[in-house]
Amino acid sequence: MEEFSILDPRKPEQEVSYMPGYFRDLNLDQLLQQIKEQAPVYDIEALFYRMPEDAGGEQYRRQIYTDVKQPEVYACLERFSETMRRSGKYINHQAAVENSLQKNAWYAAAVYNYCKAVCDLQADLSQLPVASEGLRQFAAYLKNYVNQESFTKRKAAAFQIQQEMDGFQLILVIENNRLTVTPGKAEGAYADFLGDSDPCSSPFAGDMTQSGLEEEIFAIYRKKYPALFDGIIKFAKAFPDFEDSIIRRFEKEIQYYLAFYRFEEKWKERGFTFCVPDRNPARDMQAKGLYDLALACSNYLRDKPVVSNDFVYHPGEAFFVVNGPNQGGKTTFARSLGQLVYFTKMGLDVPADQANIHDFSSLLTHFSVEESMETGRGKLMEELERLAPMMEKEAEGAFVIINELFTTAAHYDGCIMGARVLRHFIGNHCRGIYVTHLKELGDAVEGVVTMTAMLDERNGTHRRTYQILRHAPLDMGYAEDIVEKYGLKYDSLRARLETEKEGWH
Amino acid sequence: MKVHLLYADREWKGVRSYYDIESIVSDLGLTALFRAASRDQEKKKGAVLKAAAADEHLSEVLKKVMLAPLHTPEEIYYRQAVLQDFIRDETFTKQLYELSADMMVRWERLGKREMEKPGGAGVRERGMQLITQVKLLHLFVNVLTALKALCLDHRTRFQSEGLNRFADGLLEAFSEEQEEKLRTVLEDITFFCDGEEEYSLMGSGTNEVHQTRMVLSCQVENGLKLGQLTLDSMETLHKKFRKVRAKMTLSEKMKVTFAAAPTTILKNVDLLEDLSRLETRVVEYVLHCFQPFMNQCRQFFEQLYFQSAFYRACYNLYVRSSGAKLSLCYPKVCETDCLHFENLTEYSMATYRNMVPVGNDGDIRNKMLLIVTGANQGGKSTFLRSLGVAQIMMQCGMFVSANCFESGIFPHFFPHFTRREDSAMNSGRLDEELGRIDRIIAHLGKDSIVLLNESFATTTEEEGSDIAYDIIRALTEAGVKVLTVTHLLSFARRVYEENRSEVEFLCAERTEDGRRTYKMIQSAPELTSFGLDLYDQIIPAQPVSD
Repeated sequence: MEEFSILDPRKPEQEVSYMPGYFRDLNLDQLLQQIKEQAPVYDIEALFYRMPEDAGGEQYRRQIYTDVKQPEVYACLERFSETMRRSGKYINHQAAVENSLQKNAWYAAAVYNYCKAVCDLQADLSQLPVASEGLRQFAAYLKNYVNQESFTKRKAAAFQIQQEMDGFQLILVIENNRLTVTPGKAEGAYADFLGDSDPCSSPFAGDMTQSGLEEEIFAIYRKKYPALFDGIIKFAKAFPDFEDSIIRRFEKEIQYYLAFYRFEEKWKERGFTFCVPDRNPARDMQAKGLYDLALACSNYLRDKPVVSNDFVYHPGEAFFVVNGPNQGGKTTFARSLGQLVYFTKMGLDVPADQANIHDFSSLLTHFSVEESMETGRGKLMEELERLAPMMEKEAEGAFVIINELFTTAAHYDGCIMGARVLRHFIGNHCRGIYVTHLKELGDAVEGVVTMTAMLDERNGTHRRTYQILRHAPLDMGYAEDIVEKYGLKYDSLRARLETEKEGWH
Repeated sequence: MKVHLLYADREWKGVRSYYDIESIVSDLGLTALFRAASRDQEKKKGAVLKAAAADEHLSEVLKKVMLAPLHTPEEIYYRQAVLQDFIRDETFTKQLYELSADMMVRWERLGKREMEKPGGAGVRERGMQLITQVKLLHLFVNVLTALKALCLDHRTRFQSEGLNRFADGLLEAFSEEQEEKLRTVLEDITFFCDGEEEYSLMGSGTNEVHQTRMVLSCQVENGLKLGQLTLDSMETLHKKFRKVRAKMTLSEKMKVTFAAAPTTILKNVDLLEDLSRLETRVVEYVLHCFQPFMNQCRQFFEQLYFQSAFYRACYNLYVRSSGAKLSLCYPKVCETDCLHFENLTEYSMATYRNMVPVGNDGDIRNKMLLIVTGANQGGKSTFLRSLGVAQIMMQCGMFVSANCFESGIFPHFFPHFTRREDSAMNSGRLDEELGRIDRIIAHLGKDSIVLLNESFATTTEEEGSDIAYDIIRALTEAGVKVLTVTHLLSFARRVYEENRSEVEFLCAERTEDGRRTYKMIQSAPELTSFGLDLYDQIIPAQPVSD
């Protein structure tokens, strides 16, 4: 096996290093920020920019993610990552320090951790019930790798040195400026007298380079007891390299799953729902309990709940056209649909109670942006220029999210242009959602369903419910007087107190 | 080591205040009390002489404690008992507060605030911080010793559970054994504070040059780095005698066994710097072992400074009131629908003006709504305030200015006062007033009391009466106790005519010749009062059968 990727069943392609256009529109950048924090050492950002090429690639990832979600599998991959990280850290130390004895000591420790990580993972994977093609292939590769003679010899030597290091202890006697060093372990009489079991760490521990005092200690000690130090130097000469590129690549790419898993678990603990999406093209595309994950995460910190929604595309329905009041949840709903399609295509779990998603060639978004002072172009012009490439090529079979197009155009023009855009995408077998303030748009095109962000109009109020339902557009009006504003009429106050009393202890 | 003088089972921490304490303070005029409590009141032949500068801490603490309600009769009686002990033992009250206040001054001088910030990184700074920590430990040990002596002197006079437990707890936590161990360790790390003037003042009092001797063992880690250290012995060599230890330490054995061990004399400046880092680390470790003790002390002294201040403040008020011949009593707790008082006076005003106001009597049983009506300048608002102040004082365990006072406990206490002078009639004011009511309603809880003083006067009499009727009816039906002073007679009459048993009506007394006595009497709302003739012409008064 010359090349292998845990993210892609085929020959791995170049990494995509730029953020796709839809990321910011769907607030996926905010989510990625949080996912990244779950694997701080690794540079995994770019792994989230590239979607699998086809349904096969998506399936490859979903199987692996299903394996990763088993607690034992997750734990062994996490142990592997941790030990590998330690090995990597020691290699960096080796490169950074000057003292050649210490350089070699870091090297021996790095090799030991690498060998240990690889052997442990191989042993774990051969025992655990992994079902995915990706992890099984990798397990097979490891099995072959650890049985090669070059590996077994290196491993034996590294383990030998580590064992000696583990038992290496010194006694220091300090009398003013006089320092005496001997091997052995003190009884800790003063520590016992203090009666506290907290260990006393070395003041030099934070620095990978030896302090002058440490150099001095080992220098005088080595003169009398040279054996261990000579062994370390010999090891470094005998085994000058040890790393395997496929294993290092696996270590990085598996973080894609581990980080998302930790992220998902963290929010599940706080009551969020995730599910594995179904991928059945024979049934209607639909979801229940769908929510905007990015909004839910930021609202959680402010103790604000998020409303979830259900939707279904019946046969013959290609686009939702969503109307409703400002701040009524239209854009949030559109974003949640985009996130649903994105995470499905990435082979990960989605923020909903349940979902069935069809195949899409790509994800296209068009959100209105603040008018640019720099380019000096009109907003309509700017919108059309961004729209054109979307309509040109990638459109066939895509999932399309459009948020408030043509707000600056005349009403009549806006309706005509909007209808044309819809017809274009529907003609290219796209599905999607179109958020608009134009109430007429829903009736203009075949295959379009009108939905509305609903208001609660009981008691003469206009409270936003953030529910998006199949419903004709609403008319709105407001009227309140002071007493009613505070709900202080006898009947409503009485009802309010009845409710509040339940919360009194 | 706990203070527990305010609560039997906990310290002053995370205590919930009443909702909107600033309204309570201004509506009940409590600032006068806080100010009076901050001054030491000296008695001389019965007369009170103002003395000493104001101690802001006392008023701050009094404010915090007064504005956080106790919830049970037991809590209230616990505090009352402690307060009675303090009032009986003037010397103890003063010395305890002085000791804890003095402790704070010294602590501040050592840089209390800087210590609470996360430490700086430099070795030199860390060293200085450590020296400060050592000094602080010294200070704690010395003040605890003094405190223990004070308690031993006075404890026979303590009658309250609170003070007895305080003294017992202190003697147990800061035992002879503990004190001995602390003083030994402080001695052993003397070398570290060498040349520190303040330290030697607190310590042995000499200026010897000290020498270190320590034995450590350590694990060697990856990359040939020193790992975890274990301290075997440590001392400062400056005395002839050796400390008593159970066994011969390893360092002593080593002199015999490992005479030929690798040895070096550190001369290089960098190596000496490293060595001092190692020593600093060891001292840090030793002090770290006393962190729990020091943290305990920190909390203990902060709490003591706070809690003793409350009693010290009450003591000041007590001396001032008894000097002014104001009669005080320790209130009793009863059911929430009862209110009994004899010679109740308005304590804020009495303290502010240093006089004895007119007292009121009342025995109101099984009532959840109290409506006070009457002509202006009859003492209605003063009466409502006297009830409010007494309620607040009772609920923090203080005495009350009355011959006797009994009331229920209302942890949810809301004054809603409209000050006449700024009650301009416009919708913005009504909006503000109702907004306040709305917020009060949102914060109601079990056992709530609302004091309405001339509320809803920012609109017409008719509208105001309707609003008052709706709100007060809904509140009382929800079990909220309402005390209201009102001039909204349509409202008062409407309630009166309903003849509900849970309502009590009081009136500011007016003698036949129109003189105000400032006393409240149980009576039907004065439907034909002066100044309301015009109103009565428009809405004729109904004859009342009673």
